Order: sequence, then structure tokens, then C-alpha cells
Amino acid sequence: MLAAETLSKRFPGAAAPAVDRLNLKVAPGELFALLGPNGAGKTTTINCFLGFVPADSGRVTVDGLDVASEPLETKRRLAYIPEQVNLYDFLSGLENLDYFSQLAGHRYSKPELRRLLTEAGLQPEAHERRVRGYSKGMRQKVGIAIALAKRAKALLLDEPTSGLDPSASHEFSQVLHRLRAQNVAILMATHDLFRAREDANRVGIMRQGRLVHILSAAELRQTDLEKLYLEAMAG
Amino acid sequence: MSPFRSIARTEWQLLVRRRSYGVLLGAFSVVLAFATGLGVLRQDRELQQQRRYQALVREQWVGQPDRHPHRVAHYGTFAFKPVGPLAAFDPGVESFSGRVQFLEAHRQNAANFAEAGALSSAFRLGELSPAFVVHLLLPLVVIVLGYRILADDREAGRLRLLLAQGTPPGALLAGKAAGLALGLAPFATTAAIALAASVVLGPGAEGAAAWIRGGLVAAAAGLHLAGWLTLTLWASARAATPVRALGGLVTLWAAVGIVLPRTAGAIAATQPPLPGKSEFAAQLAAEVHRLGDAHNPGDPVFARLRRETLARHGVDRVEDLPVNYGAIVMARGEELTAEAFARHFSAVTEQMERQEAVVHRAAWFAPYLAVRALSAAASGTDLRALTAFQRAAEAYRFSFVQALNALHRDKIRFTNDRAQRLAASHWAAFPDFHVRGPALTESLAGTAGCWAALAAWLLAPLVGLWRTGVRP
Repeated sequence: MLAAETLSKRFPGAAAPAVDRLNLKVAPGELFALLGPNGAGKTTTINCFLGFVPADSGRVTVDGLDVASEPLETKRRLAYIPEQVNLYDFLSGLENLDYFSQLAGHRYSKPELRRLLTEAGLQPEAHERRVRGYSKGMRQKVGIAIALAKRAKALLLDEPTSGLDPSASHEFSQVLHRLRAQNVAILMATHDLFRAREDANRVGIMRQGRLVHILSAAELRQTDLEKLYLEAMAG
Repeated sequence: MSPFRSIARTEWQLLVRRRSYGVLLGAFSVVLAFATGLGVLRQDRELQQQRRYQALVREQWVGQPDRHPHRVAHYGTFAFKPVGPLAAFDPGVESFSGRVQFLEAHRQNAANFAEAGALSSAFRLGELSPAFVVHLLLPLVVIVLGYRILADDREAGRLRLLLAQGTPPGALLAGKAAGLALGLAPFATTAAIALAASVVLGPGAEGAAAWIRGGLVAAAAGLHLAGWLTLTLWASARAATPVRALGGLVTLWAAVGIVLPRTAGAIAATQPPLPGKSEFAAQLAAEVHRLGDAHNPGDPVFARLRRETLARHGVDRVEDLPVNYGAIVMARGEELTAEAFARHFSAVTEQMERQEAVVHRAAWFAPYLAVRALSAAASGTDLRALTAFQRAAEAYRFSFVQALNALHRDKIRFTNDRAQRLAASHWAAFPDFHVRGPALTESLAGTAGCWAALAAWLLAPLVGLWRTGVRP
């Protein structure tokens, strides 16, 4: 569903490439967790899938479509939740969800919108309050609802649980399980080794733009992920 | 709902939910209503005053006692410039130029040259007219309401989410523009009401032509504001932060709305400078002296006139002529000065038009100059309308002075000329001064460049927007 083939990207003026000959595939129903320190190229990889950053070489495809040549079609098949879900402060959570869904070409009734917000974990009494007064976690939940509402075939997550409390993080993990059951391909950049280990089918460790380790679910069960990660970083 | 419509509607909602929106709309409406009321009252008072004085002047003219016709010629009369069709909305040069001209024999009391010579003063900020509010202040409202429209989304990181939803960038830009336009609609409506009020209540406006003139002012203002809207969108799409977008836009507004018009006016005034009032009079006197001096018995022009007149009537002495030779000399003298005046006036007018051309060229860089020129032309209050009035007043002066000279020639005997009188009944036969304002076609002649400048002003940011696109 999501594929990067020898993807490379170097930003102007940078000494080293942000992403270096990266090969990556995420199948439907699979959750691939990208681990790595800041600057390892995780966000750049996601930006390449979103078409926000053009690849220098190699190619990125979504559902078999090339991101470079089909920028709108590929975006329609993707949902995206950033680390910070920034919404319109002067609209309610419901209005934000409605607006972003309309942009994706969906039109939901109010009960459907409410159901999506609830499914994402947002308490019903907050639905019609302006986002201005929301906590970070509540905004994140609206972001999840926006992603759910899109009914996308693939989901891109850029450190989605950073700053969430453990119970919110847990709720989020359940949402991801449901999406996997619906055959959604998920690529998640994260620092959260615990969640990666719990939720992912496969884990990739990135360093200086390259995938230095890929572990399958079976390998994950037998590995001390933290130790492996620290070893990988030590070079 | 298409993305375009969703974006337009949401942007509009976001705009009107701001607390500053209502304050801005209220303040704008109050200022514009005040300016319009003031404009209508001022023009109304002007018209009443003109009517009163015109009636008084006529009454005094007709009420003159038995008099020598040349005394009547010096008694003179006044010409009043008619109130421009949309002067209540846009007083144009009328706020600087005189509107009354004293008409008498021998002299072209071109009182108005003092003002025309001070053309650069016409580029000051000017009075608080509805035109000033709509053409200069409304673009500032566009900037204030619009500078955040894309820059805010980018700064807050929302733009990534908006684009990630698969929104076509074109729909995003068009939707934002439409949302901003919807937010501006109440302001535009207020402006349209002010314009319509000037057409309905303004004393100079008459009939369907006034509505067409109003429509032209609206078209020019609409084009001008559409340019500012597009430019604001572009700045917001380009700028790194909202504050930078605002800074850039306000700086540009001040440059093209205040600094450049004043500079263009000052430069125009030296291209070449117009003669001052006394300079003009001195040049004219020298010219008249050169053409022929009625008081110099040896002057060749008048020596020939004398020869020809005597020959035509077959007499040897002017005293033997059946007509009054003194009046013939005066009529010839009047012709000569009128010709000289016409030449000098045309030269000055051409010079003013050259100065205006400098200002019109500057309009390519400062759309405010273009919209102001178009607005004044359509309102019938531009320089062209003033010049037309001055020409009409001079034509009227010439015709009544020559009619008095004809009476002098035919009804007053040469001998003991000054002691004679003509019956008071003669004066009522002279027509009153009437001049119509410029026709619509005359008003619009030569404005194509300004329309083109406004169109370019809209096109340039459109091209810029197309090239910049939307970057997350």
C-alpha cells in the first residue's frame, strides 16, 4: 500500500542526505513503526509520502500511484496525523471535523460526526465547544477523528502520541488496532518504544536517513528493543 | 459541497467571528456615512448658493439703469461652474479649484489659474470625501482583514493538514479569496450605498447618466479592490509569518497610496511648471501689446483698421462714419485679446495635460492614482471638466462683450460718446450664463490608460499567486 523505493532526499545546504536510499513497504493491515532520533529522516520520509517534499531520486507510491505525478490522488488515499494537530481555534471540534472532512470530499451528518469524535475518544460534552479551550490531547483526538472520517487506505502518523497521557495513549492504540482490522496500512514515526513494541507488526530503526534494522513481529518478541535501539545509535 | 465552497464558507465564518470584524465594519460605515452626508450637504449648499448668486447677479444685470454699453461691459457678470454629477461622492479638483469667475470686457479674469498652477496641491490627502474613504481607506481594510488568510494557517501548521486532505491548491486559493470577498461584501455594500446616495441625493446628478457614472465609479473601485484582495492573498501565501505579510502590505499601501501620488504630483508640477497667475497675466499683456495696441495711434494693426473702415464707408474722417469708430476699435481689440488668451489658455491646458500624463504614467505603479483619476472623471469633477467650464465662461464673456460693443457701435454716436446712455430695456435681452457639465463620452476620453493600469494591478498579483502557489 505504501512503498518507498531507493528514496533519497538532501535539503539544499545540508551536508548529509535527510533520507538515503530508503526502501520501505507497508502492506494493508500492517503497522510499521519508524524509530530513530530527531533528524534521522522519519518526518522527511512522511513528508515525501504526503508530497510536501519532492524526492531527489527513487520513488514513493501510495496504492501503486506515484506521489510525484499524482499528488492529489495519493493524498486522497492517505490520512495524516501530525505531532501537533493544529485546528481552527474559533471553530468547535465538530465544525473542525466537518470542515476537514468536506475538504477530503466527505459529507457527514451531525450524528455521524459526533460518532466519529466519540470513536476517537473525545468526550461528547466537548464536541461543540470551541477548540480554543481544548487540551493537546483533545486536539489530537479531533485529528484522529479527521483521519477516521477520511476512510483512507493508508495512515501516516508523525509522533502521534507524544505528550499524551498513558490512558489517552492506550485509547489511541485501540483505534490503531481497529484500523488495522479494517486493512489500513499504517506508517508511524515514533519515539515511543513501548507503543512500537505493543502495536507494530514491524519496526524499522532509522539513523542518518537509512534504515539500519527492520524487525518482524516474531523478531520483536525475542528482542530487547531498547537495547537494540541504543546499540544502533551507538553505531 | 465542493472544497471551494467549504473553504469560502469557513473562511467567511472565521472572518466574521473575529471581534475586530464588527468594530471595523461599524467604524467604516460611520466614517463613510459621515463623509457622504458631508459631501451631499456641501454640494447642496454650493448649488443653493450658486442659484442664489446667479439669480442675484442676473437681477442686478437686468436692473442696471440707462447706461453706456461700455460701462455695462465693465460692470460685468459672474459665471458659476455647475456642480459635477457625482461631486457629492468625489469632489475631484473642485475642492482645490475656484468655481466662480468674474467676466468683464478686455480681461480674462482667469481666477482659476492660481489653483490650476498649484496642481501638486491636488495630490495632498484631500478632504474626507466618500471617494477618499472608498479608494484609499478601504484597501487598508482589505489588508487588515486578509493578511492572515494563508500565513496564519502556515504558521500554525494547519496548512499541512489542509493540503494533506487532498485539497487542490487552486481550490484552496480561490476559496480563501472568495471567503475574504464575502467578508468584505458588507463593506462593499456600504460603499455602494454611499455611491447610490450620492447619485440620488447629490445635487449635480441628473437622470440615467448619473447612474451610469455611478456604475463606472463602482467598476473602477471594484477593480481596484479586487487588485488589493489578490495582492493580500499573494502576500499571505508568500510571507514567512503573518506579521511580515502585514508589514509588507501596509508599507506598500503607504507607498502607493500616499508617497508615490505626492511625489508624482510634485514631479508633474515641474514638467514644465505652469505659469503663476501674475506671470500668466504678464505674458498675456505682452502678447496683446505685440498683436496690436489700440491706444497707440501709430499701431499698424489699428492704422489698417482705420483705413479699411473709412474706405468701406467712403469717408475721410472717423467722425463722419455712420457707426461709432471707438466701438469698432474696441471690438477689434477684444478679438485680439481673446485670440491671445485662447492661445495662452490652450498652451497652459496642454501643459496641464502633460502634467496629468506624468501622473497617469505613475498610475501604473500606484493604482490609487488610476482609481482616483477614473473616479473624478466619471464624477465629472476632474481637470477636464474644469477646463471645459473655463472655456465656456470665456466664450460667454466674449459674446456678451462683443454684443455690447455692437450696441456701442450702432447706438452711440462718436461725438460726445461718453455722455450718452442706452435704455435699460436692452440689458434683459442678454442671455444668462448656462453651461452643461461634460458629456459622459467627454468625461471618459483619455481614461483608457487608467483602466489598463487597474487591470494590470489585478493581473500582476494573480500571476504572482499562480507562480507562488501554496507551500505548506
